Amino acid sequence: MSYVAIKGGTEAIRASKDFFHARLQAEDGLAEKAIIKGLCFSCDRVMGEGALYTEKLAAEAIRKSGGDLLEAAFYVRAHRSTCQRIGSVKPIQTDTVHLLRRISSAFKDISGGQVLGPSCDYVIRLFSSLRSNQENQARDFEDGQHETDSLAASALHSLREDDRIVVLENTEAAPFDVTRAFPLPPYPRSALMQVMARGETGAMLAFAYTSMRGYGDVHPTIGDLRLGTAELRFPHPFTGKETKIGTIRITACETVGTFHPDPKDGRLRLAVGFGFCFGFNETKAIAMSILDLAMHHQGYSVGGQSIAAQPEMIIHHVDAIESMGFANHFKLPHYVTFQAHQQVFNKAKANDDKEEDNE
Amino acid sequence: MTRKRIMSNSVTFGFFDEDAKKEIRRAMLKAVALPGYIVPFASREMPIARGWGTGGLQVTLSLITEEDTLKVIDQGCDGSVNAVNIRDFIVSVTGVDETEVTPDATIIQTRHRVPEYPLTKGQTLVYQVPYPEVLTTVEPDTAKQKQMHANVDYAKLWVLLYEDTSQFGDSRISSRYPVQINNHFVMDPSPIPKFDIPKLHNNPALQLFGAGREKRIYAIPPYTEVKPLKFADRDFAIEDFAGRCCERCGAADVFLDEVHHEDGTHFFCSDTYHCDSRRQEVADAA
Amino acid sequence: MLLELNRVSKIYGTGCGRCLELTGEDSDRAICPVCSSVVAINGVSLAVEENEILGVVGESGSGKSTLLQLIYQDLAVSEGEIFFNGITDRSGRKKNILDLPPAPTAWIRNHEMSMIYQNPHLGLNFNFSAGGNIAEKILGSGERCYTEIRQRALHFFGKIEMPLSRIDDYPETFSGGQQQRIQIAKALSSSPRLLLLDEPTTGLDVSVQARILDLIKALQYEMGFSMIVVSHDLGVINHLTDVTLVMKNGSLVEYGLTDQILEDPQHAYTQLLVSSKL
Repeated sequence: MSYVAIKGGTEAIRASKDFFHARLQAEDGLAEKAIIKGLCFSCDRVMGEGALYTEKLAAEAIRKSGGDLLEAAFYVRAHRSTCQRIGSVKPIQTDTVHLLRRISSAFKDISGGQVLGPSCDYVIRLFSSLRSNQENQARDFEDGQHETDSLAASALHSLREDDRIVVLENTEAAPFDVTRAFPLPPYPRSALMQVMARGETGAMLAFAYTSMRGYGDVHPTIGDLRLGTAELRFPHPFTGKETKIGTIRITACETVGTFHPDPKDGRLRLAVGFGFCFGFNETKAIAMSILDLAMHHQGYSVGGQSIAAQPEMIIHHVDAIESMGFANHFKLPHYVTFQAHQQVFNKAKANDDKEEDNE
Repeated sequence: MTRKRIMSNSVTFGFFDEDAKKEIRRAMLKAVALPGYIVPFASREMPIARGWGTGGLQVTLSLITEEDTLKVIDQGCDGSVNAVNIRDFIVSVTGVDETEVTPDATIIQTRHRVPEYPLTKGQTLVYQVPYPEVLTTVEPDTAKQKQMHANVDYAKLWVLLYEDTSQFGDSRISSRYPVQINNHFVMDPSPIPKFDIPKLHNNPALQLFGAGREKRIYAIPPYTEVKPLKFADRDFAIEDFAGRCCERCGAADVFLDEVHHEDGTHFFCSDTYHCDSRRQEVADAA
Repeated sequence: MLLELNRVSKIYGTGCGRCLELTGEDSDRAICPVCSSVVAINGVSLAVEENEILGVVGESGSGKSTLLQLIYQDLAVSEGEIFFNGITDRSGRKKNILDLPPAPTAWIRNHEMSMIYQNPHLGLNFNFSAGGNIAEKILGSGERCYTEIRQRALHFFGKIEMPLSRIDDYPETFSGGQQQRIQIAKALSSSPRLLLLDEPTTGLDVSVQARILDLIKALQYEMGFSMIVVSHDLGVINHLTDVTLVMKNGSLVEYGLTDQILEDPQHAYTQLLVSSKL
């Protein structure tokens, strides 16, 4: 009888969870190391969207969620929520990142060279290779994730030195912390950057794409895209001395837009956007830099207001955990609200039918 | 019936650290001081997905103590999947007593319904809220919304009501009907049906509203004036079940669920405790 | 006195303290030579009485529309005071309405004053039906009875000579002239004491213009509100107004009875304006 079934919630939930986990059981099991190495970009994406740097937990989350990266990011974010806040590290200067890969589309050659590093950019996406597998693996890279000693200033460094790039005024006393408070408009730039740094790659890509395609500054140029390892420095709790507490892999991207009168003094300068995330995720960093460009260098695009240029649109709609949760919440029972709505509909329809008859 | 279970050892009481609780409590105090005003808060991520009750959870977990007795309902039902899941989680991080008996509960967390059994002084009703901002449909921009609330300017809501009335005879809003608190702020009462709106007014219980995803908390203190936004010369039309009664307990003055079966359509009380207690009454009288 | 302006100025730009002195009537410019700020309104003072109709003329850029926007508080004043009959402090002295908090300011905009814009997109909400637009004004003045709102909306819709069956249609389905009429209905539905009109008929067909002007004149006679009419068209000014104010470079250069201004202008600029009439 249905009434009993409605009340059998506990049993149903338990069975549903068991069924879910049973389906995920792989015969050989998925080793954590295999995920961290073989699905490294999935891990990086989950770390970035979960907003917690932990390859181990990211891998565990991917395994628990059967590879659903939105779910996996959710696990990591929920865990982060339980972590105790000890303090803040010193801001990372991207010039001090030990580079594994660094390119600039703006210049043919740059100081330090165009270091391609490990990249799938030029891979021909065919399941069967044009060359034999053996040829591809002729080289030995040791372990492909080691840090290098290579350091380089931003490829846009000389333009900055010549005062040809807009430097946005920093009106904030300290960076906003969206995990401790959520801002109201006008949104501080640091809050927007934080929300984007932990934003969902696909959502940010979609919004950035609208800007690229014509609803915004068409065809920006990547000034500096870099992947590498950054040191984290933290003041020692007793001595106060800065100590290195670890390293993280990061992606950073600077994108050059067009020029406009700098609000500071009215002189013409180039607009530059910045994108940053944990791990290696070039798509997200590029998208983020374009969104930063669109939001903070408005007023010179001929096309008018675009979605990507509105902080109100970006800040509320790029968080995977929120959008995914809400989209899926529609699966919850809504029979009371539906019943209520049907009543209003029936009354309005009766009213409407009566009017039709009268005419 | 009341059961007690053991709290899991690996978490702090109430799941959150004290800083998080402090922030939420401050937001709640501000909300109670400004009835109907939506107060921003940081809103921690929870192990339960956004949109599934994280706001209500944060409110409950910041309020609850070892002495409390918890009831959780969804669509009026204690046994509904979502209610079960949330109740299990809260009990696992607090060890509090749980109950289905409305008058025995000190904290009731609810989704989409107000209990049929009248609440009393000392009880707290925590609503799960998807859309805290009543102006969402008429003005999506946050800055403009704030301006409108500050000026108690709800013209756009009234015009919407006028347009619906002239086109359809009445508002098209079914659940989430806008209510005005103390003749000042207009707020979204969460997706409860119009049937439940009259229960908000002058209620002896404290009513708290938590929106986790949208990061807002608001409140109606006990014994507060709550009026649905309607024209002075129009009735507030609540749902009517054409004289039908619950097939289980015979109640005629409650919100009924319409259930479709092979053998036809049936109507049962949406509030399952209320239905059970009426059946008990009937059985006792016999 | 219904409305009074006391040395009201509007400056766009950084401002340098000398802007007002270095621009305006005598210097024949609106841009400050020191700081390049644009002085849109330069120390204008005026008074409007009950049941009086004031015209404001001048060429494009003279500041006429800006003046109305400052009175209606669509724009913020840079310097100066505005007084409105009935707005006083506790001792009964007239109070600068620009110092009022948002709620009383909204009251003035909803009850005491109304504005009709040249561009109907500024005066009407295209997401509301024609009736909805009028209802918005009536609701803004505190009415909460649906029947009363509906009747009043229909009443004013009829007054602007529109077929009542179209009251639930949306503004984009009406012609420009009809949209102006809807604006008029909306503006008058709250029975304001002061109506501000910014180029109300510019861009409309000549015959349509004439009918709308007649309508406004008739309604003013019937309801007795004061008006300030901004127009670069001296014919409109002549038809509607009792007194006229001439503006140039943000300054008031001449003021007097409309008949006298048009027939016997004293100021050189007014003479130029009047003689340029085709």
